[in-house]
Amino acid sequence: MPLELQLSLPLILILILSIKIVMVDAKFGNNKTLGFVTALAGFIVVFISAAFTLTISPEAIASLNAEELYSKGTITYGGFAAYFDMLFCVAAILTILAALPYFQKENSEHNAFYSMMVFAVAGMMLIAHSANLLSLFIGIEIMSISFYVLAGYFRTKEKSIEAALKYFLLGAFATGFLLYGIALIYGATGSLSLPEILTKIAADDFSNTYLTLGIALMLIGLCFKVAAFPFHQWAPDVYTGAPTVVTAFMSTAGKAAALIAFIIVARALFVIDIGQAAEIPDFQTNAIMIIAIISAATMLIGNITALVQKNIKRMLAYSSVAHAGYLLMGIVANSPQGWEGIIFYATAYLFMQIGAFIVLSVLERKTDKNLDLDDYSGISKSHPFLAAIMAIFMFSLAGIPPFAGFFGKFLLFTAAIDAGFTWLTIIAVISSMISVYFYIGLIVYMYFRKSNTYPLEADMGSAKVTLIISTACVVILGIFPSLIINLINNFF
Amino acid sequence: MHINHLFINQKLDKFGIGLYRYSNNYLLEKNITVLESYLPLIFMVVFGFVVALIFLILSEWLGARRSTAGKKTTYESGMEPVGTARERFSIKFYMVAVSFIVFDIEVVFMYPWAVQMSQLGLTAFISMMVFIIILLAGLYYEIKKGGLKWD
Amino acid sequence: MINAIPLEYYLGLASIIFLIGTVGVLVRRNAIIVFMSIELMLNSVNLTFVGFSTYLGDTAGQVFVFFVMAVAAAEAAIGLAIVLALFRNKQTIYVDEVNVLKW
Repeated sequence: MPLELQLSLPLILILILSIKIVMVDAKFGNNKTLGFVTALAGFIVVFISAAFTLTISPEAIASLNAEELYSKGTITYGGFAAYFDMLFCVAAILTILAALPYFQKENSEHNAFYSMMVFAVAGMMLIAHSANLLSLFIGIEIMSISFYVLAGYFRTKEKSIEAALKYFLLGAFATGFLLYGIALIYGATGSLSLPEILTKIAADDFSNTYLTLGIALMLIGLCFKVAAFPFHQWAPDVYTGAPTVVTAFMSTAGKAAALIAFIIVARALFVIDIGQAAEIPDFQTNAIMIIAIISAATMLIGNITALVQKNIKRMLAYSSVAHAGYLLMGIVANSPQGWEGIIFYATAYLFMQIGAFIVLSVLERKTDKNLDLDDYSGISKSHPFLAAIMAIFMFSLAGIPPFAGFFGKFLLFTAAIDAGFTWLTIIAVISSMISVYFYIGLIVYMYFRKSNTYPLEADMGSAKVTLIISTACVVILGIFPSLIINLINNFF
Repeated sequence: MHINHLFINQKLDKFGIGLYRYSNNYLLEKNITVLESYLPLIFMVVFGFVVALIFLILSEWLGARRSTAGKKTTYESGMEPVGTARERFSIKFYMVAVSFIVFDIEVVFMYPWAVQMSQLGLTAFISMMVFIIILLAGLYYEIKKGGLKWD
Repeated sequence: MINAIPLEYYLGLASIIFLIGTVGVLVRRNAIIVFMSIELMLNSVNLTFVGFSTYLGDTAGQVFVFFVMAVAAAEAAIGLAIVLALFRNKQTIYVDEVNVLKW
């Protein structure tokens, strides 16, 4: 098999899977488990093929001549793209395992859900692989459009549809800004290919007005997609209204995909200071300062608003806004350490947030019952397993040492300090301390309050697998972070 | 440029620039700029407005105003109007309209390919076949789900 | 290119249309009209792309326009479906009456 075909195999396989799953839905629509099995098997196959491309050495990939490739420089291969392929597949597998009992409980149809999950993962993988503004844009759109549908998946529920409408209108609005930014960057540099844009910026060969405006507009679009401060208002509403399993997927894998888009764009537009290199252009220092302010505001706003929430789903939604703020610190650092920090934290965050939302989905009843803090008082007696793993996820989200969240924050904070953003790190530490209050608050409710309601039912089914895998990953990544760090060290 | 190879090659580009030159030569002969060549258009727009305005004022000034029951009814090509004009459409029209939007726009990718097919060769042909197969998969799904059923 | 319409004219027109679309999204309350304003924004971007593409003599911008159009069509289909589902649930398509989710 030629090397390029091997490298693009994950993308080809997910394309085949997305056609296959639509066919399965069309042909065997009334078979409830066939769509699930197809999606699960497909994701596992894509995961294996991505893992395989990760073993191909970077030298071999670099030796491919861009002009002779079929992809002609629109796609990057191997490295962090392959890693993110694996990550998205894992997130999708965890989500659909939990979705099966969830949809049975809600008496909802399944098959369209698996199709949309496959489409969303295809879009995310395209984002991770993109080396060109065109493929980046298409990836973002495939992902977003699938998410609009997934958010409104319970189409007879008012909340779900409302979430979908808000997400759709604001998402499409942000797409307009993103596109206008891309158009102006294209006009300023005369190219859509990100490596070419980087060479032109490094050689000071661009039109400054259009580029500055283009970067500003593109930042607006991307900040919207990661739900950063001035454009974060949609996130809590959408995350609360969407079906819980969808929220689990959207707020983790979706956020990771938006951040990888951020990394890809930042690597092309922002020249790294390597000491003797040409001086850094003004627009770049300003842009990074603006991202730093956005990052600081995002974590403060997210954590402070989460303090007053009584609904756990909404609290986690706000905390996910705050985590977007931490992740943006890696972009601010604008260095390989920063990007590695993002990748590690995105991985850790994915497992702990999916785990926390899946615990919610297991305990949730029809018509959004059992989502308030009071409902969780004293559940350590009736559901010791769920309470224990929820506590682990909460400790990890708060960034308390033996768990994965701590090392992610540690990497990001050190990267920011190395880049000279000490004030940002101080704000990040303060907002982490604020977040401890509500994360530990939930644990207090679960362990030290008397149960004041009837005992909750919990039927886990295959969601148990999700919970065990994500708990294991959170603990293992916390104790042996070098497993991942060694892997991602040679990506940039 | 990387993505150029996909659909458009040098020849089409030359064709476009050629057209452009032609119009430029024409303008150079007449010794006017492109912007000046738009002058007749502006005259026409202004003239159209003025004429319309004159007729409006004239009819206001000269015309008599008599209202009858027949004049007040909805215009239905001389027929007696039946029912209200604000009637709701069946949801079937919506289904057809949405399918039309999606499948109609996809054809946009086929035009450049069709024009340049002989130059683009086998790779582009295979790519387009893959694209069409994906579209057919969508169509199959729609038929199976009853999206095209009228009753 | 001395005789041609300057690039700035295209960009100016596109930015005005983009602004009209943005204002439309912010002030209108009917979901369908909001959506139409968004489409207006996308089309102004298309104009920008075509203008730059001609100016630079590079066809990549025009290819991008095709993709924007295809994406806009997909978005239109999804958006109309969501608005329809909303109307079935709430008998309204005014975005300020859609307010179950609040903190």
